[in-house]
Amino acid sequence: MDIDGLGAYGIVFKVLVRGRGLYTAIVSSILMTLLVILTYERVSTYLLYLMVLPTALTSLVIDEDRITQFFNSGLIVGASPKFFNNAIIIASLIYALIYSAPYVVYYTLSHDATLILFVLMTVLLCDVAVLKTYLNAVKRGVIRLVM
Amino acid sequence: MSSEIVILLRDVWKGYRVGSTVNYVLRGVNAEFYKKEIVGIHGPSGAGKTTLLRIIAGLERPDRGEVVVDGYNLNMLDELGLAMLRNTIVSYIPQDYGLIEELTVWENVEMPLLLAGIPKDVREVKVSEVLEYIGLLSKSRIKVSKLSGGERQRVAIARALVTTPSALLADEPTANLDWENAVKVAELFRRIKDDFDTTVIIVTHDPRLLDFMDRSMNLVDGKLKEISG
Repeated sequence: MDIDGLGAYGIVFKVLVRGRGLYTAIVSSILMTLLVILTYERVSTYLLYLMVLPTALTSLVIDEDRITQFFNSGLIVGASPKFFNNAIIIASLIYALIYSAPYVVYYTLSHDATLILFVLMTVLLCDVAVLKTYLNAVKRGVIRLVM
Repeated sequence: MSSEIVILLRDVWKGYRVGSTVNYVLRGVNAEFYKKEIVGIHGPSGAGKTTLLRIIAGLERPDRGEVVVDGYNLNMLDELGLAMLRNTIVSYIPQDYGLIEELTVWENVEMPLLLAGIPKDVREVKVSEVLEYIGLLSKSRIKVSKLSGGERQRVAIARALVTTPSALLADEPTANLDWENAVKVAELFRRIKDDFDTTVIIVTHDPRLLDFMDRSMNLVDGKLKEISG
């Protein structure tokens, strides 16, 4: 993928890809997916719901310094509020997609194809909402003196 | 130095709430900064130098008073307007340089142009020109995290210059340098104001640096006072 072709949003990808958080997220998601396969029909789905979100947040927090630098730097060089909002949505969506793998596998194993899309959308919405809240909190910390 | 005013401050007040009281660090600051001049603002720690610089950069709002930069009254600008001001008219170099460590020198310098939506071919010319000027073209593909403190500072200067701003604001640019390197940085800023036709404002707690300025001011008791001679 030509990240340079994404314009200013390429910066968001570069910051995420070069951080440790994204790799932690991928590894965590793979491990959770394996756990789902191994414990299928032995562990409640609620446990699955409970474990993903905190793990997603934890892996994002690993990159807090970089995320702070990104907001700080963006603010100094005149990134618009819309750019920040879109960057937050992009970052949240990337993490949410990575952490949707265990759910997709679970509902694939259950052969309930109609549920997959529904669950995936629900998971993505929940994850994006929570991750967005976290990223917005970091952003507010950086720009608390502005406005 | 020309007679064209680039930055105008009129009765600027700024305070911070501590408990139930407000401590005013700026108490009616008045000043004019002209095109193509280099001005040093001196004052002890906690005098409000950084606050003043951040207000001129549109990073903070004054509690009272007027700030006009290149014809734009900052009170009249919303968040987007202030962002555009920082992107095109005023460049601010914070004491910690405000760089993204995981990006390369080139990527950090290119960032303001990307945000402004400048086409790639124009970006490449501008970034390489400014990196050559600052002497970092050969290190353009190196991550900022691998650079020395002095080199990081030059990256921050290059990023500030790439948009050819009307005003360049530097917060304690020599704070972490020995005197020999501090002189080099001061001389670099002098060259910049001539080569880029820009107004340079430097805040410093080091009075020796003021010898390199066209004008010097003292921030005392929340007010700016010109240092004569």
